[in-house]
Formats: sequence, structure tokens, C-alpha cells
Amino acid sequence: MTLSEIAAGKSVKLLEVCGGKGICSRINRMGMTTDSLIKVVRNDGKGPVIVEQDGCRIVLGRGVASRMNVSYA
Amino acid sequence: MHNVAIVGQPNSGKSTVFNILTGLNQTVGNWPGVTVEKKEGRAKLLSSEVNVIDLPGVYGLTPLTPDEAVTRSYLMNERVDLVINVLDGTAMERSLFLSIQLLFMKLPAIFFVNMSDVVRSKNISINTERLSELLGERVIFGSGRTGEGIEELKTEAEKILVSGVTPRERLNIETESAVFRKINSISGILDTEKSLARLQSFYSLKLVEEDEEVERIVRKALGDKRMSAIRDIISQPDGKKLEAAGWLYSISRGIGGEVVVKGRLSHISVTEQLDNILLSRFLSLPIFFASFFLIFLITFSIGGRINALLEILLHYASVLVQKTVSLKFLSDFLTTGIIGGVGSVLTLIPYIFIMFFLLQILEDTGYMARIAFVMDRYMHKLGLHGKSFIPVIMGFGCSVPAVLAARTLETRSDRLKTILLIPFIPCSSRLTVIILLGGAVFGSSAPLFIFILFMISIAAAALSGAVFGKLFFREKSEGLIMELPDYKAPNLKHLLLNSYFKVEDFLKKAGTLIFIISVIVFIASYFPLGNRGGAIDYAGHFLSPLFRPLGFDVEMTVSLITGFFAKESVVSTLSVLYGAESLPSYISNHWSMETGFVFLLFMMIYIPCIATAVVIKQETKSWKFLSGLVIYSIILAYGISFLLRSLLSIFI
Repeated sequence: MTLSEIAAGKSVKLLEVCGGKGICSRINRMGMTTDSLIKVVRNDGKGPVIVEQDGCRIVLGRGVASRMNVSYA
Repeated sequence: MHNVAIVGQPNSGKSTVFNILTGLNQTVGNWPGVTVEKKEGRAKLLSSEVNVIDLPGVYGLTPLTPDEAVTRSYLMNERVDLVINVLDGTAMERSLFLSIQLLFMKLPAIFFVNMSDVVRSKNISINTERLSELLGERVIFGSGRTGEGIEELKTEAEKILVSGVTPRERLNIETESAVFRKINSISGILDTEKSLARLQSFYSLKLVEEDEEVERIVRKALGDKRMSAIRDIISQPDGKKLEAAGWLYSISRGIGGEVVVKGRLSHISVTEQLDNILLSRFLSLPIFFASFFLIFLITFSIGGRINALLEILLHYASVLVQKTVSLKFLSDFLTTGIIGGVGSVLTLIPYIFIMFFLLQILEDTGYMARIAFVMDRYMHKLGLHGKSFIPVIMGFGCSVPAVLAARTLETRSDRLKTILLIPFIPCSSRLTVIILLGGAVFGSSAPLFIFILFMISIAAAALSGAVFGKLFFREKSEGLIMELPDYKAPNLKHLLLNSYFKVEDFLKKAGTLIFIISVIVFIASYFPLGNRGGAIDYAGHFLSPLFRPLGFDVEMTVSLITGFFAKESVVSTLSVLYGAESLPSYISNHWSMETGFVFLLFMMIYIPCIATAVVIKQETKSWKFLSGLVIYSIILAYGISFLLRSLLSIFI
């Protein structure tokens, strides 16, 4: 499943990012790499998703979140 | 003098450290060749003075934007005697991602773990001694905001600069991972080439990451043959595929896990509470519009008051000149050309200062990033994402910094699409024109008409974005990825300093231009044949037939020509050409409502001013893009104005 499907309050583990080098690099450098834990703070079912990573809040466009394959930690 | 470079991630509080080190002793310029802001200053250490450079914030050392490229190229190519790496103490793992890459550069470095005040309030403890052991470098814990640790930072910096520490040969990070083995073998090859030796570890790391720029550098130095040997090493299968960024992060996490202890928080954080309100499903949009409305209200009410004072001063100056200078031409030149020119620049300053002051509050408190979240959904309709909305908002202040702000976007097509919108956003200069002229034309119903003009202009921006985004840019925007920094109280000194630099920048870029144009317009309206027989009238008469269908007279046509140089000069040109004692009363007697409306609409849309055009060229590096935009904007302005004019003539 993808990060865009995860409800707020749940924590997941990042498996992989489907996309080119550019987007992978943008996601990686925010601290979200393979196996890292991501907590979903906000997901309204439309619009961007807010996640928490190492104490930082990061907003991800819905398109970005739907390219991130995750599993429950 | 020694060069000290400050490097840190966005929102690490890098600028507060820079400000406290340099005080007011700083200058803002541009990096050569690019329009990235270059902040430099002098800092006094214990006994010596050093040159401090505030490099643009970067998450890592693989640049995606022009700003980030500046930081890396500075560290790679310039003489850096000391790096001060500012880390966000509340996000150590992420901060260390950059620090570890810096270690690979083997530059003398101090690691300043910033925001000690926030760290304590969040019940986090950081073992800086252990961190220092792991990194093999000096680590200082402190805060640029409270000043904690700054004296220690200065002492340590001087120690390193005076004693001239030789960079360590070996990195403290040695792991058994496949990535590290690859880096080591590549490093061995690079060691043979003198020009690569200094940065061999860093280059090796970037080669493993398949960094194109570093590949070019290495290929140039080593030739194709040895480069292909390196390629072979990089492409060796290493069992579990682990990207280099992932490897770097695993080190950061390892170190972070060892030195950071996060205590339990007894209460929900302020940021969480505020986000629950400011980003709530139903309130987020109203709050955004309300804060925006407030910004305009404050800017134009306070700015208007200050301007009323300025105008009195300018009036007295004119009277004084008319009394003392008897020669008619000279007196006209001084009052209309010089005082009028200075005046049109001066009256813009309060608006620009206040507007940027308020926008900076949004930025410093952390709300600006939230706007990206709120607007993301809507910006997607224009083929953009929420982060693009930040430059667009800046456009309400002035298009020039707005175009520059677009470079924080990560892909070129996003940058271009955003720049395309900005000239259509009504800037404060255009707003002053419509407020001044609109007040004269529409009388008591002016606020309504000004609002409508405003909305048409924004609609033009949105339309252009939607159409061009789809026509010329095939690739869809990759989407929004942006940090939401914790909310914090803005620092008054930082706000004032920043707005001051913005005004200074405006004066340098546009101010002198507006002034020169006023003088030229005056002279061109006087010569060769005296008042109203000047060169500019010829130009006006020549172009006038084009604008007759819109109902513009010769003077209006001329003012549109000078408006290209600075939109604000539309007013000063009209006032020179009409030669009226009071421009508003002249206009309210001579312009019809529909002519005034169509004219103001045309003025808002028709062309980016020359200062904006210049930065658009600099940023896009494309004459084609700029000329396309200019031609399009003229056609669009003419089309909308013509349509409205025809509609109005039917109904009125």
C-alpha cells in the first residue's frame, strides 16, 4: 500500500519510492529513506499529507505520498 | 582575512547564528553569475576579525536548486578556512545527514548544535561530548537566539584559525558496508590525480551517488579510461541494494541514536495545537484569506499615512524651488523631473517596507510553509504545487524578489511555470497606481472597482498558468515536499534587518531606474519643441492609433510606454504630460469611468516592468521565454481590455 492510504495517527515503514532520481533524492534528504519510520499526522483523503519524521513535520503532496510504498511497522 | 563559511539545513537557525556573529556588520549582494542572495559579514573573534559567509541552506550536498548549487560549489572551489555547521538540535538525525557529508570534504569544521533553548523545552538531551568523539570534531551546544555558546564558538573558531589545524587524514566513520568499500576503492584511484586529491573522499562519495557534476569533473581530470574503471566499481553488485543516501542516513541514525535522548513530553506541543487550528479542515482557508487581507489592510493604511506626510514634504520642496529658481525650465525640471522622480520612488518605500516586514513575519513564524499546505490542492489545478504559492505571494509585494524566490523550487519546469504567473500578480507598485488613479476615476465606489481589477488580474495569472502549464510543460510537477518548521515568535531585529535589506535592494535595482526615467520623460517631453512638443509626444502620436480602440488618449499611450520601465511612473508621466496642478482632479474631470477602468486593467496586465524582465532573463537564462512572456502579456492585456471596452459600450 502507499503512504497516501494511511490514516492519521498510524506509523509505517518506508519500503520504496516509485519514481525517478529527482523525486527519490528529494524524499531521501528529508530523512525518509528505505526502512525509516514515518508517522502520519494528517490525511484528509484529499490534498496533501502531513507526516512526522525525526520530530519534524513534513508536508507531502498527495502525488508524492502515493509514490511511497509502505508497510505497517 | 580568514573565510568562515556557515553551513546548515533550512530552518536550522543558521541565520540567527550568522546575525549574532556579525551584528549589523553585514552586506547582501549577489553571487557572481547567479541571482542567489549572498550574505557576508565581518565578525570579531577574541582578537582577530574574520569574514563570515552565510551559505544558502541545504539538506545535503547534492544540489537540486540554484541556491543549493551555490553552497556546494563554494565549499568545493573557494578558500574556506573554517566551516561552522549549524545543526538543528531538535532534529539531530536529519541534521547529521549534512554534517557527515561535510566530514567527507575534510575541511576544518566546528559543529554548532543550535536551538539549545528549544531542545531543553522539548525535554531532549544531547550528549555533545560523545558526539564530538564520534565526529572527531569540536561540537558546541548553544543557541543563536539566546546567545548561549556563542562566546565558546568564537574562542574555538579562533583557536582553529590561529593554529591552522591540518585536516585529518582519516574519516571517523568506518563501517563494513559495501558503499564504504566502494568509496575507498574509488578514493584510491582519485589519489593519483593531484587536482582531485584534496576532495577525493567527497568526490568518491558523490560518484557512488552518481552525481553528474562530480562525474564531469573527475572524467575531465582522469580521462575516459580510468573513469570507466570507476564506473565498474560503482556498478558492482553489492547484495542488498542500498542507495548511498540511505547509507548516509543509517550512519546519521546510528549517531543520533547514541547521543540523543528524547524525554517524554507531558503536554501536546504548541506547534501541534496551532496546526490543529490553523490547518483544520474548515478554518484553514478562511484564516489564510483573513491573514492575507490583514496584510493588505495594514500595508496600505500605515503606508498611506506615511505617504501623506511625505507628500507634504515634497510639496514644500516644490514650493521652495518655485520661489527661489526664476528660470522657468530649470524650475520645471527641478520640481517635475527631480522632485517628482524622487517622490515616486519615495512613496513606494513605505509600502514595500511594510509589505515585506509582514511577509517576513509569516515566514519567520513558520506560517508561510503552512500556506503551501493550504494552497497545494488549488495550485495543482495550475499544474503547480503548494510551494509555488510562496513566490506568488511575494509577488504582491514586488515581482522582482518574487521571481527570485521561485528558485527555491526543485525542478526547472516548476520554476519556469511559477515565474510565468508572477508578472500578472498585482504588485504594490501597481496597487498604488490603481489606488491613486482609481480613487480619482471611481470616486466613492473606488474600493469595489479596485477589488474587481485585482480579481481580474489574479484570474489572468491563473488562466495563464493553467493554459501554459498544459501547453508547454509536458512533465507534470513532481509534487510538494516541504518541511513545516515549528512555530516560533518572530524576532523584531531580524524582521527589521530583513525588510531594510529588501528596501535597499529595491532602491538599487528599481529605485534609480524609476528616478532616471522620470528625468528622461521630463526631458523628452520638453525637447525638441518645448512643452508638449517633445520627442515623447511623437512616440505617443505614432502609437496612439493602436490604442484608440481602447479609448486611450496620447498621454495615456505615452504613460504606458514609460510604464514598462516602472509601472509606478505611469502616474508621474501622466502628471507631467497633463501638466495639471492636481492629477486626480484632472482625471476625474477628463476620464470617463469605462476609460479609466479599461486603462487601469491594461496597465496591470500588459507587461512586466523592466526590473522584473531583467531578473526573469537572469533566472530563466532564456530570451525566448522572456520575449514570449512579454508578447503574450501585451496580447492578453489588449484582448481583455478590448473585450471589456466593447461590453461596456453595449451596456453603458
